[in-house]
Amino acid sequence: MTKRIWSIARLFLWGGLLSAPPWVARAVLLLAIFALLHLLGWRADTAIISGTLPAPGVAGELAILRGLLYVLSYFAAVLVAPILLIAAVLLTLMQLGPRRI
Amino acid sequence: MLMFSPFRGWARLAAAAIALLLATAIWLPVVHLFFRPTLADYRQSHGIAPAARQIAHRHLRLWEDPALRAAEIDRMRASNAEWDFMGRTFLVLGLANIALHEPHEQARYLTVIDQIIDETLKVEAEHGMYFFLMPYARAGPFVAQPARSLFIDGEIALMLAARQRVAINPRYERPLAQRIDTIVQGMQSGPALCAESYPDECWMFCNAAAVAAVAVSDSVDGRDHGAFINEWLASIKARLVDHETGLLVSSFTYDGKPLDGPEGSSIWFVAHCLQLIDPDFAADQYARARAELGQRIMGFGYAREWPASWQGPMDVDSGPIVPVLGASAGSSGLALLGAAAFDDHNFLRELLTSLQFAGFPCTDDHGRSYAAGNQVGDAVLLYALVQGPLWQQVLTPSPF
Repeated sequence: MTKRIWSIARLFLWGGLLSAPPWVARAVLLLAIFALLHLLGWRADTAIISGTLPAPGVAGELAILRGLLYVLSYFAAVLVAPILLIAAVLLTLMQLGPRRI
Repeated sequence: MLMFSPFRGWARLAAAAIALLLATAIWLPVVHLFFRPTLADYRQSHGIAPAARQIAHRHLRLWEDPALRAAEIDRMRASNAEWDFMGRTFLVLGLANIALHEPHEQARYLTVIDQIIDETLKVEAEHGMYFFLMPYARAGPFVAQPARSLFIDGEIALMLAARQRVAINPRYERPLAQRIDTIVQGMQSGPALCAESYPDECWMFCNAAAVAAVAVSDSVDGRDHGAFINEWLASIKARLVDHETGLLVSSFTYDGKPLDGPEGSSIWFVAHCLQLIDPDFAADQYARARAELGQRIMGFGYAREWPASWQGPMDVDSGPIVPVLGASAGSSGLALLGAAAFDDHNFLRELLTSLQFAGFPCTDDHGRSYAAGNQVGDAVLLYALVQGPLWQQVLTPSPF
């Protein structure tokens, strides 16, 4: 089971790095992760990036974790995902080179 | 006809790299367009812009709902007790300006202003000045005795003076006059005509706020501290200007020896306070701060905490500093005030673009806040977006 999960993860991370469909898949995944964290309300925990610490204790540490994950997923969705989508379009256009037969 | 012709080997790698590079070059320069606000939605010179009103609405709710306020204050005090205090000052300044913008709503704003002032004075009376200071305030004795913090005195005086500038409340006349006398006496006793905020630690931010309070107070009660203000200006220009940048340093010892160099989280507010007493010097300080600290990248504006010529730490004032860019949350937040106060519309819009991008705005029925910040950050933003009438009233000579 662990092997299977690892192979799926490896495929996601490294498989098809040089083709358009996996880029689209990754972009959609990044957007989906962000949407999920947003719906979970983790945006409210992002005060950590201004140095505002939550109350001490386990709940506070979890809030920091939620905030950091939200920030990472946000920047991935806003910066990385669109680049992957645009790149997928460009690569597809490059591969559709005009060639007469 | 067209046919699919996938690349092979190195050509495939090169095509993928080119596609990614091109996509990056296309996307990054346009991202800001999705976050760039219409300036009129945030700041209007002759009224309250919609976004400012939403921020004010949330703050009013905080002070009208004790449970909400307690939760917000507890959250800030867990990080820094100063933020609790400064959040009050900036909110009072913001509300005072809104009250001047909207005289018909003055009663509601003054009620909240009075509530903030009364609660602050009560807390100060019960717990002393240390309640709003960071723990290191107790690390050693203040040089000037009896110990007083100009951070506390200056901002309380500024709150009182702003309130009185909107409408005189007789019960604040005496507390304001006494606080101003204490401030002036304390500053005049210092070798640099400045007073301590922490033991043997004077801050330009606090001294500028205190002198602004004196100026606003004079405009209310008709006293004249012009000679003291001129002496103070001459003293800081002679002793506390950084030679590299021409900017005022941020902190110094009681006898006027600089500790830290110019600092973003200080200089934007200092320049704003100087507008009341020396507009030319204020404009010069803003222009220098803009050149040394103001940054722009791909349509996003931000401010550095330290100029290139000064290596300073990341601390509670700067907030987290973004590596490489040097962007500081504290400096960028107060740069909004500087840009608004000096009508630097381009920079203001770029800063607001960054705020929309990375401040995580949250708008609901209760108003607007920024999840990445806290109450003091929102209060600074509110003040930046509505400031103008209060300073203008002080600068406009009375017709009587």
